[in-house]
Amino acid sequence: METIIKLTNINKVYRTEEIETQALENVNIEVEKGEFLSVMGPSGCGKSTLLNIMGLLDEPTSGEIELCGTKIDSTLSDNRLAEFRNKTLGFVFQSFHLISSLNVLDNVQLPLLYRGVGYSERMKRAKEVIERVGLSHRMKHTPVQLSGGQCQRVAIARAIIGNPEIILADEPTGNLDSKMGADILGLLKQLNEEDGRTIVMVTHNEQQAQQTSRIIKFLDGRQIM
Amino acid sequence: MNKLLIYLRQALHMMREERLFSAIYIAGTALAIAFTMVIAVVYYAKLADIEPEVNRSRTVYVLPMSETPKNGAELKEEKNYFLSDEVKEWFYPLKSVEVVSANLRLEEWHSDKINIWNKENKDFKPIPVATKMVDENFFRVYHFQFVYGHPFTKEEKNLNICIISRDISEKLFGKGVDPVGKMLNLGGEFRIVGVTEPTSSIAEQSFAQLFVYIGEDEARDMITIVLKEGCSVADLEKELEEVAHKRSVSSKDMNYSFENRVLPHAQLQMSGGRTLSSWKDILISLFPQVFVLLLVPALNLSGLVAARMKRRLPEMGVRKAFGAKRKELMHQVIMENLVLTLCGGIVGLFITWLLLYVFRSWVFFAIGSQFTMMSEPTIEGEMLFSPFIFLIAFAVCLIVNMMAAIIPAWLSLRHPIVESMNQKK
Repeated sequence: METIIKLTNINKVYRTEEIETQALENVNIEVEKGEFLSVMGPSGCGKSTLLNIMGLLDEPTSGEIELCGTKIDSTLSDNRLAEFRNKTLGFVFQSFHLISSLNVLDNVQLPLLYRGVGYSERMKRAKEVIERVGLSHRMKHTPVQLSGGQCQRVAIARAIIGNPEIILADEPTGNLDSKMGADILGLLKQLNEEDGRTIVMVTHNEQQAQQTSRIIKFLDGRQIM
Repeated sequence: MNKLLIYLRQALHMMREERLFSAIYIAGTALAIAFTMVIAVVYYAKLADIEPEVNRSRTVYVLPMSETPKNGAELKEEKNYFLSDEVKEWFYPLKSVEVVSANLRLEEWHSDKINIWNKENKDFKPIPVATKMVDENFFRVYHFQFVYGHPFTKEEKNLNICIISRDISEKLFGKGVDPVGKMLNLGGEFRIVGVTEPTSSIAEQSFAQLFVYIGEDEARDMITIVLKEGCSVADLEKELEEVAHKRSVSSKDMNYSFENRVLPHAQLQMSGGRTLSSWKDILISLFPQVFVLLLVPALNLSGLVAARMKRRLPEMGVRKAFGAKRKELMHQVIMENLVLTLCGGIVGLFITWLLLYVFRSWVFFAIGSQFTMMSEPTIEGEMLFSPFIFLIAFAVCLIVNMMAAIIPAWLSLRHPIVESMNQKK
């Protein structure tokens, strides 16, 4: 199997004038292509920090990151990192992080906009993925006009429109009721099984984690399982 | 282009969503633009080549030369006028000069003390008029439109003749009546030889409602000169210093000089420089002062934009997460501010027109026009609709607004992505 995410000796320390907090300590993780990995642990154990570092949204204090065979180091410029995120990674957040001033169609096509894809192609692909998440009838709606589950579907459509190899989902069902949560998990599983996308999902929900291909657990910034 | 359209749509959406912010932004920009435009219009009206002062960019005014006793004694009284013969001897032969007009601007002739009567109607109540005593060349320096009659001619020299403006003619004789040949009582009797279209009192060097032909014996207190194309104030000064030098040599008692007596139009009107400056140059030279004055609203605007950018940090974080580069986000912020500035510009344009229409007397009186209290200053369409003026005002405010917006936006976009996304709205 091909390793698509490789984290080696990752440490993350948050420093203020008075206090130093070790968020991650010597983390070593390898994720295979096509895997659906769950990351579990209590609040504050470093799960989201790990996901942010994997997603190049945050920098580790030390350690090495390799994504899709590319070594990510400090020599990569902000622009290069932005391009890499745009092409390789898709994000789903607990609080959706949709842009309230844009409608569903515009929110979903955001990654393609920054990739420089033309208008008609963007529209075509946006409509396809919106249809896939079952929101064809809500394309012109803004996020405030949607339910939590619908918002998360929009967020998933936005995460997959650029056809990224890796989807990082940070507690994607955390703000949803159990039925909607199950729907969203079903959608993620479908993306993993049918499209072969690699998914790393942070979750508190043991039952949902059991449905993924592998679980790793964290406590106080260290991987314990 | 696609991105621009999306940014534009989002900017319009933001305007609707953040109405208070947009209203404050637009109002602030509109007032700043109106303020800048009023200054620009005032300068334009005072300095640009506009009817009837169409030669302002080549017009120079010369005051009587200074006198210094050769023995070093203190001068008791300086001669502050020109005689008719002196004008012919000193100014007519000058090579740098196209037209010379010698006129009298004594204070009482500027005031409302001159009253005129319609001689034929003894019951008519005298009316005050703005008056100038001018020679025949006055109407070559300034371009007046004649409704009836003609400008003064050399042949009419030493006759008691006058020219009046149409508004005065209508007050004295009624509408549509040709008063040429009729007599006016100005203390003495004067025959009307022409009627001009009224001009704006903003053009104060030429403005008058009654022009009396200056007699050969009358003293002149100012020479108005139109320089030949391509000649400079320095050329004229050089020639005049030669005149002064010759006079000094031939005088036993006095040294004469035209130093500081030669004033280009801009210097006379607005304390401009010593050279011939176009109103555009002068306006551009005002940029630093205007910038300083606009700094206060700009700082307020900057605070508003900074607060707004703080509210939008999560959105910027999300955009960065999905691949937006800082440059692209800056373009977006710039587009949003452009839309608001453009709205402010349009509102500002209307405020300017309203200000200049409703408060024009006050505006021009405040900057020292002498006749505004006697005659309502008119502001011609070309002053208000000059695209150059609007572009200048808009450009100044655009630069100030962009600086006010770009700096906080740039600082805000430097926040780490995770920190931005987790910022509480």
